[in-house]
Amino acid sequence: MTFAIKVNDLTKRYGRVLALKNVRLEVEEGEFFGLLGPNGAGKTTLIRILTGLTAPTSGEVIVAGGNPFEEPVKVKSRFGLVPEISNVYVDFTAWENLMFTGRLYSVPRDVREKRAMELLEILGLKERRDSPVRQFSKGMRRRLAIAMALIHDPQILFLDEPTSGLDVQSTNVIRGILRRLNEEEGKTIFLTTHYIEEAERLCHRVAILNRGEIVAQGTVEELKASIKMSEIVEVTFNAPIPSLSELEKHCDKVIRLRENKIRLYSPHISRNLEAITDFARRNGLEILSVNTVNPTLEDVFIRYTGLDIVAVERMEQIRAKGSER
Amino acid sequence: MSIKRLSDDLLKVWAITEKDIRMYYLKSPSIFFGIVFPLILYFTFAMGRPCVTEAHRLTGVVTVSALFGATSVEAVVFSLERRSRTMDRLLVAPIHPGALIFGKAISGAIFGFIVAIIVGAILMLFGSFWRWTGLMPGLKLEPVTFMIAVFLTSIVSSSLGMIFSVKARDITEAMWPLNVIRFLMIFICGVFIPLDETFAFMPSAKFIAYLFPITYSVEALMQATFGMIQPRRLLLDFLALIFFSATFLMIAVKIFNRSIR
Ligand SMILES: Nc1ncnc2c1ncn2[C@@H]1O[C@H](COP(=O)(O)OP(=O)(O)OP(=O)(O)O)[C@@H](O)[C@H]1O
Ligand SMILES: [Mg+2]
Repeated sequence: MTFAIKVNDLTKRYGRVLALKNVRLEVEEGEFFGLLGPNGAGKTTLIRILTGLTAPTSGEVIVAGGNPFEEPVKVKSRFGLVPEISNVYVDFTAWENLMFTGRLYSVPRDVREKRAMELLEILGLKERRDSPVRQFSKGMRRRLAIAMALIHDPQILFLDEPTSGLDVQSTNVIRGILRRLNEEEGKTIFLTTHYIEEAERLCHRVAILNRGEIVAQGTVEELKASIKMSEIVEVTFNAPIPSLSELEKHCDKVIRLRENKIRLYSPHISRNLEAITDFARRNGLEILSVNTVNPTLEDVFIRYTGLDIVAVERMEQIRAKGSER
Repeated sequence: MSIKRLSDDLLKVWAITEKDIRMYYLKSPSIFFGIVFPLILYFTFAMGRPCVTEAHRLTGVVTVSALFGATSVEAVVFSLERRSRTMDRLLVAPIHPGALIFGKAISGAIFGFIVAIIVGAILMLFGSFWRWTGLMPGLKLEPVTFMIAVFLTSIVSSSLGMIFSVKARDITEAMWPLNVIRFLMIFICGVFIPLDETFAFMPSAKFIAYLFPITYSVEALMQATFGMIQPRRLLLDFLALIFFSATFLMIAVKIFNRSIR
């Protein structure tokens, strides 16, 4: 088995901030790998270390058969990077951006022209290839950044939140291309995202990163199986529930689904049931139903990060307004 | 290192140089600091100091144009490239940091060179503009030597500019230390006033001037424009400029490497 990416005991410190802590992960060649984590988890930091842009504080990094800091030229010609913010040259046209990038990778002129044409076609930018990128929308810039990362036909493609803040159409175009690159061209894809559904739909394997630590890693199925079905319980009451704070003491996470329905995450289900009946009695509520739930990847995420997905999405919306351009 | 690798690297360097030229030369900060500012300085000197000789006026203004042009464009290129995050694009590409810095040094030097040559040509043709007599008196130009001297001045300036620009987050962060050293050199290196006059108060301190690269630029330019070439002296000036450029570039690469980590 050959690894495209291998990281061992990786730690990154920014002054007093511990951005990554003892990260260990392995990505096989041809694998579609997703790094899932909330804002500030350390996703960008990890991708920057893998691509040789930021040096780790300690630990071992192997990408495409080499260390990006020790053999930069060899390793860097084997991967492409689509960063969090599309770093395209706005004074240049799409075509000029692609030609310049091709030259940085020593792609011969005829090859880079042919490949640029194909990439522009696939990414739906062919008609606009001679427009200055300054006039491009965010989604178009992102698509161009992807084309630029592929101009030298790399074995590995890194993408940092490739669809964040884009509309449905751009998102679908990008996801379709990534899947095709992986399935038809056998490229290894490493993407970070905080869209759970994106990881679930695209990735063979997923690692969940929270506060700099990998808290779970495996195929989506494995991750789901890692939480026992009984760990998630949905309870419906006969009347609106006043406050959840009392229940929160007993389990990892309580989410209000409707005003009279809640979902609890906890590894100790029997203790929970006592707590729930107690809670109902004290608040004068009647329990209408108690169900265990098949975990989704979302549940896995909530279970391991302790974060509420609604909160995560809201954070994303706020951030999307402020970022890019 | 194989020939193929070397030529690959040079092509990448040239790609960066060419892009910088196309992208940053006509940005307003480049034009202001690189062209307008030296001109203002020139007129200040031309009018305010009647004792300045014609010869010094020409060599001085050519030197200052190259110096300001090349250093400023570095400050502009690096800060804009940082701000648009396109620096990451260069860093993630398979290029040695040294080659990257070299590519940028060349583009800065070309900018300084073009500005200085244009300014120099105007002065030579209309050097006595104020007296309406046309061609500058005493001019005995050695064009090739002149070009080499201007180019080396530009290279040494862009390398110097690089030292202060590689880490800078915005233009002003690079500009203020640059201004300190640029003005210091203008006054110490005999740019507008002959060295003997500058150090008239203490002739033994004259050696200080020779610790700065611009002194050698002025010396070489003087020889090239007024037909007073002393081959040994000229060679020494050129070698000094090359030595300063190489040293500055190495320092810049060091700082740059450290700033990535
Ligand atoms: N250059 C830096 N200097 C200091 N601290 C940094 C730097 N870059 C990142 N950090 C810190 O490291 C942590 C991880 O940040 P990182 O950008 O990797 O998170 P992320 O998972 O990419 O978040 P997001 O989803 O918001 O992009 C944060 O606490 C952040 O403040
Ligand atoms: Mg990030």
